[in-house]
Formats: sequence, structure tokens, C-alpha cells
Amino acid sequence: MKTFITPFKVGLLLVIALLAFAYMFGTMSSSVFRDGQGYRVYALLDDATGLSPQSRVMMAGISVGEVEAIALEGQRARVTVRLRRDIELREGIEERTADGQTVWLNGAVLSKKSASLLGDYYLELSPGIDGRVLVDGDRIRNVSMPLSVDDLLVQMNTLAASLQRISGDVEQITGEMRNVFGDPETTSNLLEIIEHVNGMTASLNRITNDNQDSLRTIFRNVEQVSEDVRAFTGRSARSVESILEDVSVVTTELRHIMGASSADVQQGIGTMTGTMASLQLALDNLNYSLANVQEITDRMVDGEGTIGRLLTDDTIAMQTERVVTSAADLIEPIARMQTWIELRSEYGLGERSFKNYVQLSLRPNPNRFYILELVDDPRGSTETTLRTTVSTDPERPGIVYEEVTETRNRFKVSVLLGQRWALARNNQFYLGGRFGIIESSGGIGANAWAFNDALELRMDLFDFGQARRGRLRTYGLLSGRGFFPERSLLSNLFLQGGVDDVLNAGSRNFFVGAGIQFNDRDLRSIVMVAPTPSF
Amino acid sequence: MNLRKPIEALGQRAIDGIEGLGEMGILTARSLGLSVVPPFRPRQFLLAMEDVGVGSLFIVMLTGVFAGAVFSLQSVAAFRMFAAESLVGTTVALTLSRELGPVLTGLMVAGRSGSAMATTLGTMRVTEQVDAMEVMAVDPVHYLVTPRVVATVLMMPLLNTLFVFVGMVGAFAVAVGMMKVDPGMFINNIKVIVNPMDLVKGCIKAAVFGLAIAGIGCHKGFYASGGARGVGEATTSAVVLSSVAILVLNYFLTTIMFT
Repeated sequence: MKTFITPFKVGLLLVIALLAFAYMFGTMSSSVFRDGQGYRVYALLDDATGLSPQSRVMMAGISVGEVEAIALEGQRARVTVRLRRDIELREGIEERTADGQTVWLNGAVLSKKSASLLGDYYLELSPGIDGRVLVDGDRIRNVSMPLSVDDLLVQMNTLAASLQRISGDVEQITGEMRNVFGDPETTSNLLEIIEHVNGMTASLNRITNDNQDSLRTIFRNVEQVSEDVRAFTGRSARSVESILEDVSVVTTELRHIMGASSADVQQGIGTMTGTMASLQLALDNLNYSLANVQEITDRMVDGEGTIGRLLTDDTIAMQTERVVTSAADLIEPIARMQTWIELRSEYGLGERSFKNYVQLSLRPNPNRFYILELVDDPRGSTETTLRTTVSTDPERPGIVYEEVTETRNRFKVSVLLGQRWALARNNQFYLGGRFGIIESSGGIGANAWAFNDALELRMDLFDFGQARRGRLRTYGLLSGRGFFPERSLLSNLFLQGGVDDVLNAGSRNFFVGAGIQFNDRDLRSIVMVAPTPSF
Repeated sequence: MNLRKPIEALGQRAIDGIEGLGEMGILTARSLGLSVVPPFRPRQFLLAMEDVGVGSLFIVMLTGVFAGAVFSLQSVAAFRMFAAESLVGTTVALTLSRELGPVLTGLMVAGRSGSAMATTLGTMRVTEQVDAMEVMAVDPVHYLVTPRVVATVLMMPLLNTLFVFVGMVGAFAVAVGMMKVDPGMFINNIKVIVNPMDLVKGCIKAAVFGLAIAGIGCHKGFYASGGARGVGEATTSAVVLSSVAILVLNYFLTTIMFT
């Protein structure tokens, strides 16, 4: 028995070991040369660092050969590669460029490629499409070298230096800006100025746009008026001046007469004749002036000339009045338009998570509102898609149908138009409705206000899904407006509570919350007392 | 007078050591030379092969699996720092086939078969069976030493191959199974970087180690003296000496073959 078992055991060991050897030899062997020995071509590289005999030669990521030898030829490395017989390379077409260099168009290219950052390289071969087919011993004309890590580092050094310079400049600029804007007073002034300018330009824009024609007429008229006035005053002024001169001469003469001795009377009378003549002249001048004035006023009365029209024709007055009225009509709603901001946050008792709202509500009059609201909803939005996967993996079924329900946490938007009506004359109770987009889906809602807006009830119905009933949310807001003096901060705060998704038992959720509501006037008063953020 | 003795003893030990080395070399060379001289005694060869090869198979494979596994585990941890886990297979394959395979196989065989040779031959020597053989005109070197030396030299490469193989299996299991390394890249990088000649060179190393193990084991047993105690000493020194010899030889073989 022993005589049989011993040789058997030893033989078995031998067989197993040889099998293991053969298997590992195959595993470790990377030779691509199954069909004979392949053929050799060479290329001249400027730098063969990182390459060695048996380095890979790849084409399209597949090993097609190996480096057989590397030798120095002149100042360049002559790299001989051995390639599989079925790899066909083209030499390319020789062409001379303008600067006297020879290029081989569309020929095979041997590129040195970096296999890792640590300095391993392999050769990538691109076969080329033109020219004669390369055979054993031929040269691959085109080579390309990679940017080495050293080159990269040099470039990065340069880059880093300029970056440093730039960041220094930026720092300096921001420093100066900080000095300018860091002052809280400057900031608040700037904000105020910007606000004013904004309001002014908006109003002006609208007025000029709407009344362009009227304004043009007005300006033209005003121009004419000023022209006429200039002509009139120019002419009259000359006459009046000469009258006054004459009067001055007359009074001087009179003083002379009064003050002169009787001996001089004779002479005085002589002079008086002259004086009378002067007076006559002055009166003539005055007459002429008065005649002018008479003529002008006559023409004005007749409605001639611009001033005449201004005085006699009431069209301009009416037009002006109309312009002013329509401008007032335009500006009034803008002035009356109130901007309300509402920030509220609610805590879902069932979901144990917070939901936050930022609401901007524009009210052109107390009973109409346009709402834009951003909602951060932890419940997210749920999407169900049918995904079909076709697989060629034999270990898996060929086609897999999956119903994928995906819930994404995201911002939702509400855009609503609302109107309310007073129920009682004293404006204590209101009923209202709103519609539009609620939390990124179509929806409608109803509101009720009581006690001078101190209590508000809201009810929204939205998010109608295929498999579920719509989401009905009912909640009430109790504002501090009813309890605290107006314009105090507390009067802007409110508490809220309600039920979300009433119709779907599975996701029904009670919540409580709080928030703050203020309009632009409140905002102004708040901003005045609150510290302004500075840079 | 007193000073001379330790120096004398030191010199004597050196002389003994060199003498032992020479004896060992002569014995090994003679046993190899006698392997081509009839009678061939195939049964003795087979028994020796079974003892060295089959007997050590289990322990060698066990060592191989765990050596490969632990090496793989450590390499993955290290290479993960550079996101180069796909090189783990290459590293393990290179190390196992070049160094760890031959050395660990040699140490295992030295511990198991080298010691057994020293014990068997030593016992035969002290019980005068070797002398009896000489009386019967049977060359004890030809009968006892030659089969063991040849069997060890032949079996070591086989054991080494199996060691590397199971080591790779262990490494693959740990890297791919436990550490989630890409199995395709694991195998492919072995193909790209490891050369099959590494395995062949490893087997040559293993054969040289086999010669050293069998030579030392047989020499220590063959020249044992001093009864049971002498046999024990021979066994111990056979294992120690062959282990050291393996490591020293490994350095020189690596220098010759891989640089």
C-alpha cells in the first residue's frame, strides 16, 4: 500500500504545483505577442525619462506592444517599440512649412503619456491615416511629449507669484472700501439715498412716459412766453429809461428855477422854454411808450401772442389742470401702495421639523394684495417616476422596472392674487379669497380677518396629486396688533397654529409657529432703531 | 598561561566552524555527485520527497495564505493614502514571488524537514546504524544523504510555487472581499507590472535554499555525537543554521538576480 501511496502523493504535489506555476505564469505574463514576434519601429524622443524596456505601448487604451530598447542617438533617445503584426501604422505625408521645417501630415504619432503623478510613463500610439504603411525598422516621424511635473511646477510658481500680487491689490482695494463703507453712518446714508433716488426715478419715469405729449406742449409754450416777454421788456425798458432820464433833467431844472435869484428869472424863463421843450419831448416819449403798452395790452386782450393766449384762452389752464390731475392719479396709488413683509416659522408637531416662510405682499389698496412667498418645506416635493433598466449583465434580469419615489427637499414658491371685502361698516370684519400658485403648485385659498386684522384665519387648498387628495391647510394668526400700541415692535409679532394636510390622514400634521409682519413704514422705524450691518 | 586559553578556544571555534563548513560542502557535493551514480534507489527518493514535499505542504500553504492576507491588508491601508489600491495586487505578487515565497517556504521546510533530517541521521549515527551500513558496504551518504538533498532541492520550488499561489489567493480575498479593491485592476496590474521571470527566479532561490537546508540538516545529523543529547543539539543547530543561511543566501541571490 505504502509503495503505491508515496509516489501518488509526490506525483499529485508535482501536478498541483505545476498547474499553479502555469496559472501564475499566465497571470503575470503581459506579453501581447501571440502571433509570432511582431515588428519593430522606432521614434526619436527628446526625453525618455520614465520609460524602460517592456514599458507599455497602448493604442486607444489597449496594449498593442512594448518598448524593446532605448538608446541614445545624437542628443535624443531612440526608442524602439515592438508592435503586434495586426497594428498598421502610416508614415504620413511629408510637407514643408513656411519656416522650413518638415512635418508629416496625418501620420502615426507616438506620445509619451504620464501613467501617474509619480513619474510613470507609457507610450500612446495613434496610427495615422495617410502615407505609406510602416514596416519593420521604419521610423515613426511624429512624437509628442507631455508636460512634465517639473514644467508644471515652474508654471505654477509663476502663476502663484502673479496671484499673490493680485491678491495684494485686492486686499488694498477692499481695505480702502472698508474704510469708506465701514462707517455705519455712511452706510445708512447711502441706503437712504438709494431708496429716495429709486422712488424718484420710478415716479418721474412713469409721469414723463404717460404725459410726454402734454409736457412737450407745455415746454414749447413756456419757451414762446419767455421769448415774448424778453422782446416786450427789452423795448419798454429803453423807453422807460429815457423817460426817467428826462424827468431827472426836468426836476434839476426846476430846482434851479426855484433856487435861482429873481435876477436870473429872465434867464430862467429862457431856460424854462428849453425845459418845456425837454418836457414836451419827455411827454412825447412817454406817450409813445404808453401807446406801445396800449398796443400790447390790446393785443393781449384780443388773445394775440402767447401771453394773450395764456390770459384769454382757458384751454391751457384746463390742460395743465388735467396733467396735474392725471399725474396725481398716477402717483397716488404708488404712494398709497404698501409693502408688507412677513417672516414666519412653524414647527410641525408630527414631523418634528421647522418650516420657514418669507412673504412679500404688495397692497395697492387696503383690500387687494399680491403675494410672493418663498417656502423652505422640510416635507419637500415628492416625485414618482417609472424607470426601466435594460441590462446585458448575465447575472441580472434583462429588464428591470422600478418605480422610483423621490422626495427632494427644496424651496417652494407661492405667487398669489387676493382681494378682501368688508363685512361690516366699521371695517372690523373682512372676508377674502386668493388664488394662484401655492407652494409651487396651483391652489386657492380663503381668508377671514377680525378685530382690526388682529386675528386672521387662512385656509389653503393646493398640491393636488394623482394618488392623494389635495393638501388642505387651515391655520390662524393672532397678531400683537390688537394688544400692543401701534408701531411698537411687539405689535408686529404674531403667533400661529393650525393643521396641515387635513384631508390625508397619513400625513396630517399639527403645527404651531410664530412670525413677524411689518410694512415699509414699520421697516423704516425698525431700521432707525436697529443697528445697521457694516462691512 | 591563563590568557592563552580563551584565545586558543576562540581560535579553535573558528577552526571548527570553517572545518564544519568544509565538511558540509564536501558532504553536499558528494551527495549530489552520487545522485547520478547507480544504484538509484527510487524508493528512497520518493520517500524523501514525500517527507519534504507532501509533509510540509499543509504548513507551507497555511503560512502562505496568511502571509498573503496580512500583506494585502497592510498594503491596502498604505496605498489607500495615495488612492492607489489597484497596485496592491502588484505589490503582493512581486513581494511573494521574489522574496517572501522562497524565504518563508525555506524557513518552514527548515523547521520541519531540516530538523527531521538532523534527528533521523543523528539517531542513526549515535545508534551506530551508519557504521553498520558501512560494514555492509553500503555508502551511507549515497543511501541516506543523496535522496534527501535531491528531494529537497526538487521539492522546494514546488512548495514555493504553491506558497505564492495561495498567498495571492489570500491577498485577493482580503483586498477584493474585505477592502473592496477593484478585482479587475488587481489582476490587470499584476499582468502589466509583474514579470513571469520573477516567479522563475523565486523558484531558483527556493531550490538553492533547499540545497542549503538539506546540506545543513544532513551534515549536522550525519556528524552528530554524544548520544541523545548530541542528537538534540544537532537538530537545534541545524534549524538555526539553515534559517540564518536562508536569510544570508537570500540577500546574495537577490543581489545577483534582481539588480
